[in-house]
Amino acid sequence: MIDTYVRMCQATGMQTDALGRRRDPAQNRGLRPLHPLLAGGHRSRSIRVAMSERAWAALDRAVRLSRAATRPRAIGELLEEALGTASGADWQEWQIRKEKQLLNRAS
Amino acid sequence: MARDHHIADIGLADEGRLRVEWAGGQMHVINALKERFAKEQPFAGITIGACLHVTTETANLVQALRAGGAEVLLCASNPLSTQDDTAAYLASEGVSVFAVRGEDHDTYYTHIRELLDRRPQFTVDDGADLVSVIHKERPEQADSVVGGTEETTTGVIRLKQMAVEGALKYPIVAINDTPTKHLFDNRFGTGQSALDGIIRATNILIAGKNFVVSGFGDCGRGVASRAQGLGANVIVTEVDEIRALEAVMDGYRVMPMGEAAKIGDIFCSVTGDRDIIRTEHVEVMKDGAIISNAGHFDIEIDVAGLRKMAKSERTVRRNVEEFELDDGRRIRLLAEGRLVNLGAAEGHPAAVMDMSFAGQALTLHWLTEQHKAGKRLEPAVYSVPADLDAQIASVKLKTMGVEIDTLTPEQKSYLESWQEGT
Repeated sequence: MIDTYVRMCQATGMQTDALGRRRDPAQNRGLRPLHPLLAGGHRSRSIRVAMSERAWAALDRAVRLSRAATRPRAIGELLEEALGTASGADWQEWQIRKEKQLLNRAS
Repeated sequence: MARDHHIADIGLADEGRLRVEWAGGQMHVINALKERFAKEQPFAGITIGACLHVTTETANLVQALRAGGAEVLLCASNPLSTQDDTAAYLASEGVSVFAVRGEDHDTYYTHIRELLDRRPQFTVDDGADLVSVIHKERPEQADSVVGGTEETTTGVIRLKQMAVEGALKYPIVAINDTPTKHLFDNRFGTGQSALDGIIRATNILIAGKNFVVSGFGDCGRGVASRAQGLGANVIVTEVDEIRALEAVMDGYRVMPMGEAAKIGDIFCSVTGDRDIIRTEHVEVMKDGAIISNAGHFDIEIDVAGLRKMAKSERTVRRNVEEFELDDGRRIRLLAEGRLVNLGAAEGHPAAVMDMSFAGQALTLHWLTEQHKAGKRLEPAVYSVPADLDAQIASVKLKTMGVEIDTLTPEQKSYLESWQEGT
């Protein structure tokens, strides 16, 4: 009976996944990532942060004012800005930053 | 080993070609110059390094310079405005393009350095990037640069400061400050695109509305006349007596912002200065008032003050944020207070860029002529020679099929004589 079952699995094209579970090639139930890929090449990671109550309050305030789609993205944008690695949301924002830097250097 | 180009995907070239051709269809002056340069070959043997927005309009400028015999190198002046298909098309045509949309800070500067490694004799800047890297990182290369051009006002401010400090090592021509550029960029370009942005964002009927224009410079004139053309009752606010008088004589109502704020339905600030629409103005605005900026950066409207005084805020349409005040009035801010013509519309049409790029092309031609004639310009910031501006206007008129009169010798002599006349 076992032999019949195995033969049937082979005949219907079932395969095993990395954990040895039988899977139909088109079957992705249970194999989908929990979260969809983030847009713009972003990656989500959990980190622990320690800072003063005042700084947390400032962060919460800035996050509330942010126009980012999600809270993690808002925090990410603030961090990127602080790190000086922000690419800017769009070209106009980038242009404003560039020209303001030029004006600062000229003054 | 030096690479020929660095772009996102050469497979986008066909798409880019179509769009470059479409823009070229509106760039009659550049096309006319391209034909002329192809015959005269003024740039034969010359390498031009350009750091500009990599867009379809820029591609047409590049093609005109190449038609004149130049080797043109191109990198982006803003990594987020690069059109990858345009870059791909130019690369497929043999242009050394170093631009990838969304490139990071390091790649952005790597591209500028890659361009400069090819030792251009002329630089074309839009925000002084090439000039800055040459002066900061490779000052010895400045000796081999004959001259350059700068497109932006802020770039020119920086370069003038460098000249004052004696730090500028080669001559730069400021393209921004020509009458044709002001006429087209400000009056016709901003005038049209600001209204375009307001209408696209709100889909509002302009006719019958009280439309407040702050500032009656070139941009303000353009915005005011187009709003009036759409049937608005235009109100102008000004700080300059002569401009205010001009606005009155043009048929607009003129009053202080404090008064205009009470009756305006739509506001468009085009002054070039900061804090034009402030919280005290918002305090007296009508429910549903629409406020926008088409002047300078994001500083003409006190957006931070507006956020602070609002009870709540929400995005009601794309590019429209609604702020509810304590008394229930709603104020609608367009494009987050940044330039509405860029944020909610598409900025200047190609026909407007045609004029400023014609200034670039003719100025580069003029610089090469000076060089060939052995005239060495001192390191300083120069204005575009007046006759070049007249040439641009002349070519534009010709492409439009418009002819004008010329002075007779007697008329010319009369105008030049101080002995005749009243």
